[in-house]
Amino acid sequence: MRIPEGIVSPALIIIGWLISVVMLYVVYYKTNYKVKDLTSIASMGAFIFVMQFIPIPLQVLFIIPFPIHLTISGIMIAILIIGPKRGMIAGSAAVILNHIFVLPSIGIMGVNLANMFITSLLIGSVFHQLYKRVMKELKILVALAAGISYVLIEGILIMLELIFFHNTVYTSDYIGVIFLAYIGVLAAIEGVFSAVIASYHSFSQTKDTKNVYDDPDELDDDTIEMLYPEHDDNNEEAENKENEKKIR
Amino acid sequence: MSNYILLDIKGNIDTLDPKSKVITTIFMVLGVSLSVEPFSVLIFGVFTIPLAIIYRPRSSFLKKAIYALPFSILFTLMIFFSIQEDITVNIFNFSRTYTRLQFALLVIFRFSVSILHTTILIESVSKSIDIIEAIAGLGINETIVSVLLLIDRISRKVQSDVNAKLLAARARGFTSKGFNSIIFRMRIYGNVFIKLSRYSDSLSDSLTARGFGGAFSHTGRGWSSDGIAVVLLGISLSVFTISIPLMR
Repeated sequence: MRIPEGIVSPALIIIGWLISVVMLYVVYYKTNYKVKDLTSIASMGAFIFVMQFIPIPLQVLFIIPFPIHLTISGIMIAILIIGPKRGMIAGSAAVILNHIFVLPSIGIMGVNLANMFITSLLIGSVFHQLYKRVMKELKILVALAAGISYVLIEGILIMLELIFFHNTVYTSDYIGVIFLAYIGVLAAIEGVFSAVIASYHSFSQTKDTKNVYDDPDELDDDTIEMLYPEHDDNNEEAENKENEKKIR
Repeated sequence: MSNYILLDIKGNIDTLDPKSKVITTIFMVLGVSLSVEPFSVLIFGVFTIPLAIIYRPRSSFLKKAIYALPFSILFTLMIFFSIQEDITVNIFNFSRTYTRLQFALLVIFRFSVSILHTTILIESVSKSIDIIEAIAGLGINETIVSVLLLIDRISRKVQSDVNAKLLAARARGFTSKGFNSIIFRMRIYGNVFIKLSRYSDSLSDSLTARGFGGAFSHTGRGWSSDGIAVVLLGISLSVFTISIPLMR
């Protein structure tokens, strides 16, 4: 969901660019990221970026008359899994690449980036904390709610921008109703998709397949023991002694 | 035996660095977005010709710009039907009133010129990585550049994974239609997402093993006199064209 080039007033473009530059400064400059952080952010960004090229053919269900690209759920999943700040970085990188390479529209890029930042700031932290704390089965519901909330908030934000900055007379009630209905349907679809990806993420997190997106610093001892039983300190010492004996 | 000599003479202007191209295009596109008069947009539109001569894009840039046309027509129609009365567009203390048809035509014109400018930039560099390196050359934070470069690298891997899965499905005689195609795509996304998490882990390990410290070195070129001349020309034209209506 994005505002296309050319329809908003110059004032909104200037405000959007100012907000984006400040937010980019805050999320990129104020933190030192480790290599593992960079690769997990980049892989999330790549996932969002590539998803923009593969349309979901919803016209076959006669819900929306054209295929949609699930960008928002990608951003929301990134926020849920790697945290709001890193998720915003992944999302912003994907949005920048999208506005340069997919559908060239550099002018409106600032406004769309600002919308993403504002929405992520509003709900990112809450849903990330929820996602981290709830049990595995409930993560899907959290992702569903997060996807729906993200689309609704960003949709309403876009609508307000169009009303206040588009022009002096933005009338026609039925278009507003159609737009709200579109946002509602889109929210449901993006929510379901977020839940599907979250299910893949949460149920793939077994002892055989550790998930690298999670911050290792945040793992407690029990989880580390479950994920890496072979790296138990006592086992490690015993293994070292055995190896030494073998060498001798 | 061929006894001719192939002379590949390149002038300085032909080797214009991507950094100058990126800055000039950003100013031009922002200029288009901030234009409220049709003749201002026309000036930017006419200026695509000398820019195309200077940038030397591949001939496919026109085809790419035309691909975006249906999208712009769709949004113009939405704007046309969403407006019932006249529209006033403001920039600072200048305002101009349009009928809904005039405004819709202005939007499609602005959108087309903006896309033309960006497509010329994209098609004038040999690889997408050139534009990312150009961004790095502008002194932007290394984290942004590192994330963008990693996304560029990882997204190729993701694309090949998705394509391999689609081809494998087709080779096995799977034809997805209707609701099945949506389920099929969701499965692909989920699988790719999990695979990506493992790839991110191995990438992080291999980068750390090679002594990667968090910032990629890039081969950004310095400023050339031609590059500076084109940038100054772009900025001057952009500022002048936007300020024409304000000077009245």
